Amino acid sequence: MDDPALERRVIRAFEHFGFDLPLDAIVAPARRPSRRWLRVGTAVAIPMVVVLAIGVLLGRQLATPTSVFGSWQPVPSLADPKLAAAARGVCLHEGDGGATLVIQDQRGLAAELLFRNGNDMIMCLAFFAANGEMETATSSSTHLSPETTTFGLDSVGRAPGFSTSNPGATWLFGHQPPDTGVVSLVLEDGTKVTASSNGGWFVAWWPSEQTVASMSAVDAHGNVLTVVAPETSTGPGPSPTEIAPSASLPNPGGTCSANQFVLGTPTYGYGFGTIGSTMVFVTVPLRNAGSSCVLDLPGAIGVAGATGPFHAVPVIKAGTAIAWASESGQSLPIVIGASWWVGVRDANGNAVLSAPPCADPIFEVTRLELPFASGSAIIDLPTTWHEVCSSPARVTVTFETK
Amino acid sequence: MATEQADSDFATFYRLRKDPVYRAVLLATKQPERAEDAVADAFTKAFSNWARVSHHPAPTAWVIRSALNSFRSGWRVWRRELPELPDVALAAPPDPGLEADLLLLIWRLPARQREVVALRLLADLDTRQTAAVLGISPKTVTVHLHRALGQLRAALGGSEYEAYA
Repeated sequence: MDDPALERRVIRAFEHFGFDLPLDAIVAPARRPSRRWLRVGTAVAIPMVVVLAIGVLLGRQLATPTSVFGSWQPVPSLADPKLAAAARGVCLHEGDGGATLVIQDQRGLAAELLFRNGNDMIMCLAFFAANGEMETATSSSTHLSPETTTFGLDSVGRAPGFSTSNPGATWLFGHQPPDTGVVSLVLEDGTKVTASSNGGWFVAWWPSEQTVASMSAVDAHGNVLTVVAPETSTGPGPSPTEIAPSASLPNPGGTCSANQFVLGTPTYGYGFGTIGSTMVFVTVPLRNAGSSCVLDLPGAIGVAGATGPFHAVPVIKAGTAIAWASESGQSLPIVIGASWWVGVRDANGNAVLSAPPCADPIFEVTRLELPFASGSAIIDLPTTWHEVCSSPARVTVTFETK
Repeated sequence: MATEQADSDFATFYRLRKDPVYRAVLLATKQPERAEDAVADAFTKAFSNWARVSHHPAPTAWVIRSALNSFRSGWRVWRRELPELPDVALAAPPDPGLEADLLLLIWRLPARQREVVALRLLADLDTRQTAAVLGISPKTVTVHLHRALGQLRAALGGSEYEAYA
């Protein structure tokens, strides 16, 4: 210890700073069903759905006046152009200057606004506070790569409620097929919500945490298209046999198909590798929505940046189980970790260790391709792996079997 | 049963570590609101990954690193940019008996020194854990802590310091 007495004083000086968020506000969002879902192959949309943690972050900040949410209507009301104009200033960041307003889903005093900036979709729930200033209750962004045109949800966000005056909120947007009319949502409590639509997109929000039981739209021929439980549906993607793995990955074995799994919200955390390296784990819950099968850990996965092709890299099968009997309906997290060299410097900024060998590195990895016995799943990382070595293997895969 | 035990373990971890983690992230970032968001986010991630985090050699370090990364990642949540608060505003404790002068000096330390003080003293991480979180060498951690304390000691003045010690 350098100076124990002074160190104690420093600690005492901070004792009046406390963190008062109740435990329930921390654990409740993590227990909710995942809002991401798996799409098979590379030719269909791989939307990056709203970050789950938004629920936590907004929980405290959703101190929306009762009157604002009390004015909510199940059918959209006339859009307030002043609100849309003011919302640009608080909903959009630098770099979003070219964003265009796609839909303003106005319901009473508040509106959910969907902006588009390239493949970035920005949602923002906004209203005018009593003092006339623009307030945003929620805001989130979703990256589409590429977009799809099938009938389904692209992003669902949810903020928890803590009291009757703060009932939480849910907001979403999705695609509807061409030549379909109004999209109608039925929430789990039976509430019917009519979405706002424009240009093949639809948007809706409501002041509660109710999930969507079903949604429907009528096409030009009078046929009713309905999707049941769209928040957990895999959507009508093509079968995996129609899609060739993009990274020429070896078959991992087992008997599971990619399209029988629903992908949960990927989360990430840091490990402690050897000195000079950073290790980041990404955990992806896989729920078996099909029949029971044998899931084998792969010997290689595909990695890619935000754009560009996938590259096959070998992986280390870690943990005690390298194959898993996946029961129908069961969820099993798979943990994929990568480590890369960041270096070690002394107090003068001089490097004190040299980097280990790393052949054919792939930089700024944000997408993974996880092969199954049939087909493969594309995973959008919730973080960036700055370097992945093709050789030697620096990626590990593990079943989190507890 | 196992889940209940895990929940109980996490609840204990949260109760014991939430304040030190927040103080550390607050000092490292100097932005109370965003620090709160980042800490909440990090604890939620820890809960989601509790099976692994609970076996981590340093769960507190895991949470702090996650929080700092969350803070820096610039997620578009609550998108209004919040400027770094003036250190004077941060250093005004509600109780005049608390050490406002020392707080002010700590806020004004160079960023890296603040980070090291935050992790080593407020979060009670050891040198190696602090080094791992910040991506620097343990020796550098030691050097920064030594310099930070030396700077505080010098600014406080020997006589005043001795009176408190």
